[in-house]
Amino acid sequence: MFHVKHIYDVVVIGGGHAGVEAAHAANRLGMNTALVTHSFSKIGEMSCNPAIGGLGKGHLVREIDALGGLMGVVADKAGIQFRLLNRKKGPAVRGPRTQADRKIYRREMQKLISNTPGLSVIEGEVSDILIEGGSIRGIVLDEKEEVLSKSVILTTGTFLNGIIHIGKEKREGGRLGENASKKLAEKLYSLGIVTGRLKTGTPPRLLKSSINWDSVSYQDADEEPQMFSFLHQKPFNKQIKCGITYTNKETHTVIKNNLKNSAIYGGDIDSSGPRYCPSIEDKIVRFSERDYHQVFLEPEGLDSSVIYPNGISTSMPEDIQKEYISTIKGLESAEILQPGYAIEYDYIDPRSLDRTLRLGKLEGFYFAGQINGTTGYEEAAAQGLVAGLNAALWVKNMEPAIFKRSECYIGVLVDDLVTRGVSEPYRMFTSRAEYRLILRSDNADTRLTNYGRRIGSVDKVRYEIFCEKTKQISKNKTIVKNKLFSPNEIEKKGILINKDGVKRSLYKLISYPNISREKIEAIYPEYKTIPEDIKIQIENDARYDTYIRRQENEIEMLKRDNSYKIPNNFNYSDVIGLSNELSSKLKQIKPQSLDQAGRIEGMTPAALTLILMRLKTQNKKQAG
Amino acid sequence: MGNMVETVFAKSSGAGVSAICVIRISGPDALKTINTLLKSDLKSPPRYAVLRTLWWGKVKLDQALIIYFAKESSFTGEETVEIHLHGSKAIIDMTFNALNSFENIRPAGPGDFTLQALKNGKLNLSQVEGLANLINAETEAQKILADKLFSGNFNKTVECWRSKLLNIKANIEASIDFAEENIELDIEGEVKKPIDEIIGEISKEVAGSFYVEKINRGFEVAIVGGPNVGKSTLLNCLVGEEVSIVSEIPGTTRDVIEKKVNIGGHLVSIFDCAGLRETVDPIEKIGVERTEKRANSSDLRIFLKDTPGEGDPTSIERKKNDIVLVSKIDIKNRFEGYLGISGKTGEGVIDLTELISKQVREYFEKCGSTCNNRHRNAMGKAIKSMEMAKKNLKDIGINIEFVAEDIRQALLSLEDLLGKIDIEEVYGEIFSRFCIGK
Repeated sequence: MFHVKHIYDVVVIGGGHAGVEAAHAANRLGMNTALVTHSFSKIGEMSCNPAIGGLGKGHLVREIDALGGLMGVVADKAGIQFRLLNRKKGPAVRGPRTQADRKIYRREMQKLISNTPGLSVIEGEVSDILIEGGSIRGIVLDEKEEVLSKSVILTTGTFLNGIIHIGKEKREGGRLGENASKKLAEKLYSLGIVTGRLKTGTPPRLLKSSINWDSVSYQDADEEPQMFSFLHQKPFNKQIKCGITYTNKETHTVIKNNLKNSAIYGGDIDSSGPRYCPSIEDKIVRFSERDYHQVFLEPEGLDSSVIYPNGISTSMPEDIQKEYISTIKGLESAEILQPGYAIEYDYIDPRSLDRTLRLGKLEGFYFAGQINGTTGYEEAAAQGLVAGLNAALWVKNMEPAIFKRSECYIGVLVDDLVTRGVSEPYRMFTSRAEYRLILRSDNADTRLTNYGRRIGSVDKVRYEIFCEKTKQISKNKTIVKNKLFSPNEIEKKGILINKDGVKRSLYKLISYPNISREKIEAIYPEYKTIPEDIKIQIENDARYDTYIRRQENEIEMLKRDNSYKIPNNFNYSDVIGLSNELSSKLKQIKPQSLDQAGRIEGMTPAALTLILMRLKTQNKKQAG
Repeated sequence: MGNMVETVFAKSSGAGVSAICVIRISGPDALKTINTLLKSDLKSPPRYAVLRTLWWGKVKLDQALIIYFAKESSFTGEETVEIHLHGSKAIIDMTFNALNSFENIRPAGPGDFTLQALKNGKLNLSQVEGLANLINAETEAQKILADKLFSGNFNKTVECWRSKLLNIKANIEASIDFAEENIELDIEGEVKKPIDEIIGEISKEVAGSFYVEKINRGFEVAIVGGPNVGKSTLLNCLVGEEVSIVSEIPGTTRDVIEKKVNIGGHLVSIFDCAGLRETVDPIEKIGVERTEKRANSSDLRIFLKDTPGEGDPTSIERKKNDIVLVSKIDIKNRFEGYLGISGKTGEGVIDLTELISKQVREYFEKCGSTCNNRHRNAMGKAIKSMEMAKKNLKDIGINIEFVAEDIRQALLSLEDLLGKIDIEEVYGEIFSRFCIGK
């Protein structure tokens, strides 16, 4: 007989970025939650590069924060080089990013998790999942202990049949030095949702003191750092700079001559890797016309002796890694602390999940993170949040949290995953969001915090800060919208303007890209007194005004398309003329509206028409 | 549950009494229905004509030629049977009554057969639209244009624009989302130039669509000239039947008389205009005004004159390709260097039709693949979005995401053309244009 340990509302398997976010979100909604991990000391581990955010990813972190999540808060505390990417481009495509001190990140995350009442951490290996009559009952720990739970969230990252490749050398394991959960994998295979293999890689880690820092160039942190969390104003740590160096022809020759020894090119790995985060072997084969590639030398922490050379992930044998590293300027005598490696792992087909990230066929069983075929801490955390909130809402018998594409990047992420599935590791980009001009990182709170508060995910402190900010924005917006200036008054301040006699509001003037803030302040000196974050928001809204309205119209239209709901029991076999391939895709994904069906890969206009017509005839029959 | 396609039937040959009448039955019950009418199984191989007797109970309907089409090779993608009856009203009525008495079969509504073909993937949307034109085509030229749409040419063109636009968008997005990888955007070569190219191509197609419309509606020729110069006689001669009242009293033709003729495979509308002269008669005055308006908007004007020296009517502007003719050459001397014509004897008429024909051909050559309003609107919208993108490109530093948005809008417009959006509206428009039986 198994020993029964405890009964939880939500059990989260895995303590990575998805796991902590899921557990904490469920806990915020009042759930008695347990987080099961191999080792507490690994919670908050950044297993790949020591950085959070970036283009598209930074948006996700801001949204997680707007919903009361952890990543933004912890990243701010661990941030050692804040940079707003695309600063020269418009605000919608700017992405906050920071280098993060691994140790601080881990420490702060562990502190948050262990200081949360009602959130227990259980160390052990999950050996089985308890299923009873189509719903989840809990898990089995280390083959001897049953942990009962109303819902379970699986966030096991690359642990599913993970194999590490360093050249021709292979070993089992999720990350270096950890065991892959084979038993759990077997259980998941028996559910028939595991779909294929993906790969990802890391670069070798270098000893800081072995690098010739005088011969590389540098990139500084921003002078006015932009924080992730809406709660924070300025960094917690000293800001550092990163080194930049480049591969060269010699590096490329070494790699080309040894491609047969690479796990990826030697034929040992044939699964798909991310196109946009390629290994150095990939880059050299695919972009053979380029004779250099950029390498960022990122410190892993303030007092760390480890450097993460971003841009040269590899699965070459150790000696070849050493050989090509030494051809790079500044790295001539660099010492490799840990070789780069490629990891291959199984993932589940996210199309078997619904928009709450629940496994369609099992009540109370959720999946989040890299196991769903994504790559990146931020993508994992965002899914963890969605799964955590929804597991809790389900246990509480409340309306699920369905995030829309038109509301947030989180919505884009979930919709892409469950509708289109993945064929290579999925990474967020700003271009994935069709309503990008509305979904800016500066207004993530405006978009999400009210909702977060309503479901209990946002605490009082955050909510009050948000309310105050909202009040300030609307107050000051009214002011600048009502301040009118004649062309003469405007011209006196040295601004070129069409002298048509029409008075323009300050808001209108702000919207002109060629009028700087200094000029605005010259016309209306009180503008200086408006707090910076309020000003940014007003300026962005003004600048995007026409486009925002246009996109809002489109969203309205979309709502109409969405009004063609496809009932869950809709029988695609009845739709004559639908190809078998599409029919089986539709059966699996079960889109809830015509609009969602339209985004399924391979969907054709003709097929959509057929579904629409079938829906209509069905409705007519029901009505008649 | 299961099969939702209905079986429909309709007379597919023309209206009125004819030697043969073709009734088409399409749908899952087509074969069952014919077997009942035959009182035995048809048993003929697909696409073979067989002669059989049709019965409605004890009443003999007709001896008819019957062709069976299997699902895979029929127009509709459904099992289809064609019955070729004798074309008498009585036979057709009796057969219709017989078919109406079956339970799972109903008379086809407009476009029903085509709808089945669309459902079964036998045709795509713009092919369906092309088919509508094809059925309505009156002249060879119209048929050729409809064929272009029906064979999917327009779709291919749009797909081509779309992939070029996607390429531009990909370049912009790469410069936004891979800013860290040092991906530089070549605004001139990767954005501006290709946008201009696409705008050029789409504009040409839009311009071409007006020519298609003209070819379909008929090339307009106005015969203008002073009173009693012989315009009506010329029209009658070109048309080959008496349309205008011909008399010697000036001002007989008080309104615009229009007649359509087929010249060299093209539909041509010829207007006989009221004689242009100063008048106090209020009714004739209205006629004159209308004439002027119509003549000015026509594709071609024939200025008919008594002598070459005679001036043009002041209110009608002579355009580059317009034709000047000296009339009534049967009773007058010819003038060197001028075309002459006699509506009465037909002298010079062949030369004139050839001249007209040449100008219609020029129009025809400028034709695009479509003249559909929905298509033209969508192309117009796409151009507008791209013009917006060009405007935004001027202040590139901050505006690249606006350019990306403009391109996205242009792409949406093109996808609209391919039938991706607002399917319902598209449907309403397309299927309302079909006659029953197709």
